[in-house]
Amino acid sequence: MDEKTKTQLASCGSFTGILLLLFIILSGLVFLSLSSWENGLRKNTDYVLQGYSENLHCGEMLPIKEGIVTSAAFYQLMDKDTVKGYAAIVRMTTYYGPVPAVFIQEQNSSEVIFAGVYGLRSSINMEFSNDSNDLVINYWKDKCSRIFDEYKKSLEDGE
Amino acid sequence: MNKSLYFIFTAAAFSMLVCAPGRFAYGFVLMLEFLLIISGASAFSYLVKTLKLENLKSVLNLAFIMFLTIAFKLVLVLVSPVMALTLSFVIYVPAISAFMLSSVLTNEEKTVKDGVAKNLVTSLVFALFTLVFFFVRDVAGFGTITLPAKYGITEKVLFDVHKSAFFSFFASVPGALMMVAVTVAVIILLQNKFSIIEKAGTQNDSE
Repeated sequence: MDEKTKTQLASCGSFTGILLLLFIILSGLVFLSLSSWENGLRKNTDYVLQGYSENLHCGEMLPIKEGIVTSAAFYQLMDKDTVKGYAAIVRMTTYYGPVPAVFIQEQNSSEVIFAGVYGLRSSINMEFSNDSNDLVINYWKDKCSRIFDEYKKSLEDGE
Repeated sequence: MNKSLYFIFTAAAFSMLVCAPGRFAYGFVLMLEFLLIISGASAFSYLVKTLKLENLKSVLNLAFIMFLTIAFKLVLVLVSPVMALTLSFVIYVPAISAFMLSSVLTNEEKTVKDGVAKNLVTSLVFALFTLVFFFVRDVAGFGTITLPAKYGITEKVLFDVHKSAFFSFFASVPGALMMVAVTVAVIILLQNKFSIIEKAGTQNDSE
């Protein structure tokens, strides 16, 4: 094997080694962050739900299979120990930029209710309400309603 | 600031400052990421030189910038998932900003220390501007001051922003766009005035 081939092999080996190392570190971080995503967002959603109604909190995370889960999380809505419906925390883009908004739906109802925004105690919070004709809030109500309905249908189909 | 930096500064400001939520906590996290990627990628380019991989320099530098960005997002998910959810794609913007591509990929300094220092000096000016920008938006626009916290953000309400309704405009996306445009215009105006004064001074000296 001549010198040129040895140098090329060493270069390829170093290149592959660097990429492999970066891949391994990222894979480790992905596994570590999975539970943090579920538990952390559950805490934030609970905080908003406590402001909406004292006994409400989140239960298990719903296994939603859509692209939206990269910027949203869906949970069972619990009233003490009883499953009452569904809750979602989503990245809602508004006139004031993106905000983490919480929506809930009770089990026997098709209506989705806007419960509040996390981390916005400023008086700008008054701009967001369930009764507003805000197009963005209504868009997310419809979207969450569709996602919850599809999840209920998947449960009935036994998936 | 030289003229080519105006365009880089403006492009980076529009992409990073306008799309992000107007709270100081998010600005702080974005700038931390920005400085981390600049310094990490600058140092990595010297490692590539040491390993004699210059022919693969561009690919490796870009791969490392992407790695740092995704690793930062995953660490942010570990520390504060709601901030990662709210920032979403904005976390990827510093990696593709003009600052990154112009400074890291064209670094010609001889030592690691000089290379990292040169890139950090320019980036620190932008980072300081960004922190002031987010601070003004948070205080004037929302009437609050926010800081990153474990599992969320800590928020202190300073005053009712509806009492000074005009300033709540700066909390909005159009307000942020206007602030960036006015700031860049003022910087260019001041720089042109100083260069006129400097040229007049040089002409007087030569006469």
